[in-house]
Amino acid sequence: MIFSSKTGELNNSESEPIHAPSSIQTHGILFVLEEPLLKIIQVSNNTFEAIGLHPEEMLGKFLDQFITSETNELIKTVLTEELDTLNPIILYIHNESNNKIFNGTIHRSSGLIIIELEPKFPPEYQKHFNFYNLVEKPLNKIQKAHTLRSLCDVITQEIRKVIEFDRVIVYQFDAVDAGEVVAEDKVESLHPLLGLHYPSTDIPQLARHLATKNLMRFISDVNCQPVELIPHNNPLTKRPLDLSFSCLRSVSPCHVQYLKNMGVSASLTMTLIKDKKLWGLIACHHQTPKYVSYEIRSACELLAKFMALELSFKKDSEDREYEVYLKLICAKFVGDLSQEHGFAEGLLKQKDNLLELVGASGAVLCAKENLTLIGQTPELADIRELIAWVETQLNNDTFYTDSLAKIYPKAEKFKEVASGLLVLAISQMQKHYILWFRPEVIQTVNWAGKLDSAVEFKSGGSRSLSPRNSFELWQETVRLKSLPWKQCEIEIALELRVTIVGIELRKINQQLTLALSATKMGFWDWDLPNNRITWSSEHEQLFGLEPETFNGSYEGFAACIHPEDILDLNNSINQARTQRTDYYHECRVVWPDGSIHWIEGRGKFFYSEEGEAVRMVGTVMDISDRKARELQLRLLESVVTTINDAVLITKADPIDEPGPQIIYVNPAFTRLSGYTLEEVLGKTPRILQGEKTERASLDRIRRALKNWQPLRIDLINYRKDGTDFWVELSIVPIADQTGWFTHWVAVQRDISERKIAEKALHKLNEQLEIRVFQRTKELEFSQAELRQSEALFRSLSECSPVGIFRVDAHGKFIYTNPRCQAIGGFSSAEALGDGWMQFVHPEDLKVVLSMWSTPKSFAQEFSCEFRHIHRDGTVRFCRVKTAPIFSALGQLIGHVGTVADITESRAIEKMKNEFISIVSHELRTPLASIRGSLGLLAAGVLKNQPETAKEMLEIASNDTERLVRLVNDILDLERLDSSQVTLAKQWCDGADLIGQSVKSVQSLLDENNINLSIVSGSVPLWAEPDRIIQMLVNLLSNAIKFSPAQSTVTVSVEDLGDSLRDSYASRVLFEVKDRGRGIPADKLENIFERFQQVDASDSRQKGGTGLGLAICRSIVQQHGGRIWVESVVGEGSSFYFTLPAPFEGD
Amino acid sequence: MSAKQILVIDDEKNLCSVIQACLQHLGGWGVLIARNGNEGLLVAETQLPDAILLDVMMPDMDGVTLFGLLQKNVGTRMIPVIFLTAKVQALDLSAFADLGVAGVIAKPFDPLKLAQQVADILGW
Repeated sequence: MIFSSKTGELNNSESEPIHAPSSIQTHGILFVLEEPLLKIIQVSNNTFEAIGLHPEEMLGKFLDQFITSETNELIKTVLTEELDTLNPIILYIHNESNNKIFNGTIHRSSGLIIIELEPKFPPEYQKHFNFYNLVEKPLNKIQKAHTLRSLCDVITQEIRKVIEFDRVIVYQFDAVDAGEVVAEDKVESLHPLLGLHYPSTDIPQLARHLATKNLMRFISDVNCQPVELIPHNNPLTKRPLDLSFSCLRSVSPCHVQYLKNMGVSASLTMTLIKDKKLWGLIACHHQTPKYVSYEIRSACELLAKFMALELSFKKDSEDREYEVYLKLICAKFVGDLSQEHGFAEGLLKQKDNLLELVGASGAVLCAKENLTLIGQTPELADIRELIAWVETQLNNDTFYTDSLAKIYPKAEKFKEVASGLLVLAISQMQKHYILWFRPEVIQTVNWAGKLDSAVEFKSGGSRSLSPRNSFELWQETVRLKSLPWKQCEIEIALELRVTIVGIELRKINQQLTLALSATKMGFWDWDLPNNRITWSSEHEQLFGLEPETFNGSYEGFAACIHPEDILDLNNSINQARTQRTDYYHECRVVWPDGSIHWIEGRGKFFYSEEGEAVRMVGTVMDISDRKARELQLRLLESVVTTINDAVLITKADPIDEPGPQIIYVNPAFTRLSGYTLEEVLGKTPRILQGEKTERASLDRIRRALKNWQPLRIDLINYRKDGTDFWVELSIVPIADQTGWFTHWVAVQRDISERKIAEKALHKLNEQLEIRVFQRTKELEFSQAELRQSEALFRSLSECSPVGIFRVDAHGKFIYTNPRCQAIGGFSSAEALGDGWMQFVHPEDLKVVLSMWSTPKSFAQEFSCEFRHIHRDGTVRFCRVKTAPIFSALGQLIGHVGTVADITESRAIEKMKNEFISIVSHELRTPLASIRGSLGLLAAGVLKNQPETAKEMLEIASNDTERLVRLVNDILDLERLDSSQVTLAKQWCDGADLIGQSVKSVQSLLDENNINLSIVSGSVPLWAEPDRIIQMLVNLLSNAIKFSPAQSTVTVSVEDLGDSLRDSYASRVLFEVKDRGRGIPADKLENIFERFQQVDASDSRQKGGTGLGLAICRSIVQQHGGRIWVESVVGEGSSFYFTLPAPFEGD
Repeated sequence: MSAKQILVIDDEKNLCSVIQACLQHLGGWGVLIARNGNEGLLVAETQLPDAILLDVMMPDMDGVTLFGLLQKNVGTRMIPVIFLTAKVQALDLSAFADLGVAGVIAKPFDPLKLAQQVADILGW
């Protein structure tokens, strides 16, 4: 289309050096300058017409002679900077007659400066030109184009508007550099080119190469005569100057002819680059010569560049949906690939997706020799042959073609299923491939002229550049081709490979990790130049470090090594590095917790081309177990060497003649038998046997050997010097790891002395037996006596009211009598040994054991008291006493002990102490007041304080009375409780007793302003009247004292007689009822105990002693009656007591 | 310097009067009286006396409990406490010593020596 050649080969085009024609087009002039002084060394032969100077006038001179000084400075500045960004520059050329203005573009070629000048039209010629207006609308339209097709349409229309040519087309290259017109805008009269295809030969490779370097090519008039450069060759290289980047470069004759054949006179071509590759061209054609100004060309170039930018976006957006769809399919494989053993098994789970991933109709999964066929594929044998061929074609991870039969003719046989082939190499080394197939799709292609018409051979068969002369529509039916593989399909195939390889790597990594872990091995990698060491997590574990705590330096590693081993380790590493041998070393590692572990390191150095060690890789393994075994082995070896018993090791076979061969004897064997190791090696143990060796013993040995049984036997052996000796022989068969017996080990101990002793002993035994018989008789008699004695003791012990136990010399219980078991709450069996301890109160056990340890050890008497927990759950106190028992020889054989339950006596003692404490307090308190007040008075301290003195006297008097009452009550209560009082009972009337009692409390009633209500008839009763009055007065006094003023206290007596006739205890019922403050429920139970007032201060405030109710209870109990109280707090209390009818004895 | 103040805590009214007379006339000190534990605690916290003479056997709150509360309070823990008690068995006395009281005076006490006993214990 632009150039035509018979072939697209670059070497063939070299005969037409289109980049170096040594001529330019007529619409500009060109200077070639030598730096740094900008000396003119070549110039186009049209300068006179342009600027009035002949080339000869300028050659060899410096440019500054022909340009203004400002222009000269400008050029010098430009040359120091990025030329592309500064073009064009405005240049003023002057000669004697006139000055001219040019648009100049400057570039470098072959080390020279090339300046191309095109006339710059004065502003009045460019009134209509406004760069911004020119490009603004087209840019907007380009931006708004949604599809690639519309983008191409827009660009052709907009550029044609700007450039005003007859035709503008967009031409797109395919994968084999053939092309198709994909958009066109033209004058109506021209025949359309849209949809036509052009073969790759229409644009030779060099032309395509030039197009990627120089993005715009303008030809103003194909018919104009090129203007040659003077001189023709570059004077420095003596060759035509490279004008690849020149915008004025003349047109190759072939191209001129091609354009003429197309009817084109002026042409402007712009290159479209996408992803750094030639995507296509924008070609503008005009039927008549037409000059396009530099400014208009710049506008078109900008639009083309903008389109190129949009191109990748538009193209991508069209494919994006499809790409996303393919990515989704690809993602579906991840799960199956992870779970299955191999990639083929994983992919096979989704056969349909595998085909859809690249839009194929068939596929083959190749894992070494295993082929799995999916969908429509060639025959198995054809596939194997195809794979062998593909392997020769694979340079990268993919290989693809949409016309397999063209490059692999055998494929024509299976064109229906495999005209298109896409191969993905998962691993070329392992021969893991995926092959996808596409069927043949017969297509019709419209060509601009019959293809063969362009071929023109010169005589002799060589081909030369020749323009196409026919562009008439020619349709071709294309066979043996599939639909082309899209870039995104290739890319998704590669992505699948990345996924598979990633998953396989992960699996391998897991396997490696497991293997390292299972073998207790760690891995390390040392980057020597950077002193950077990488450890696997197992390595850190073997060094006792937490994961990812190793600092990665050699120093960090060395710090883990046992200080005594570090020197050897460094030597080992240096030796491996300098001698280029494998590294192997065993050393100790000290863990952070201080424990020591043996490790074995293996590794290898890797060297740079300069021979420097740059990397070391290796493994570590924990060999602590092995080291321990080695140590044990060494110990055993030293035992065998130093032991006094003779050790002899033989091979396992032969058991029969001549017998197993000796392979080792220890020094003790030599001492015992006189034979050295060298003397017995290879011989059999039979050299030790002789005439005295018992036949039976030898037979037993032989049987044991045949049955592989260990044996222990005494027998007579012979020394080297012929003397005999007794040995105790032990033989044991030794098996190897597989379980086969490989050796016998015999250990011989010299027992000659023992045998002599045994003989003597035998004699002694005979004598003893006689004596034993005699003694046995005596003993039987003694035992009968003993049994009698034991029966006596047992009956004593069984019936004893005291707990008795017996312990042995070690302090273990060996006997308890029934009383002891009853006290402890354990059975005989439970107490045995240390069993009794579990019944001791946990808080006392330690003390008891420590107290018991000394008497137990030193045979002393022992006594202590402690708490124990009875089986019934109660805590009880016991007192234990023990005495040592000695044997007739004075040896301690144990202890005998008694145990007593002192729980009750303890409780009584406690109560007594508490009572004494209270009484002491109650007595001491008034005594303190009396002593204090009288003491002060007696000493005259208060002689000047009459008021205080008086107060002291009253205190002394009051507390004396209180003391008297207290002492009286205590004595009274004591007499009652100890039953020292004999009641003088008589028949009396309950109403009378109440009457007399009321008289005694009358003053108290008045004093407290209390009403009294008496409810009584005549109630006969059998009692001591004074004691009943004492009780009533007591109860009434309490009721009055605790009642609020003006309330009523009620006293009553009632004969219960007939209603409770069967109960003597409840014949008469007295009640004293008040409206006082009441008694809290928790106090009701103890109210009749001594000193148990509801409020302790009552005794002081109310004048009581705290013993009144206790006395009442004693009196009632002496009469055989009962006393109790019912009370509601805040409402009042009722005290009741009953008196029984007289007993028959009363 | 103002006279020392002693807080006497005892539920026996008469005894309080006698103790007051002893300490005032023979010791020359000011005497504060409290008749139960709660009242004593309040007076101690608010008046911060120089020493406390404390009965052990009191209803509601006994002397040992009150001593514990006085120790628990930063303001009162520095006030020396003397137990004045009728509980004078050997076991009781050793228990008081373990508590960390300044001293123990047994009831009945010698009225003429009480102030001196207090002064000796407190180092006045």
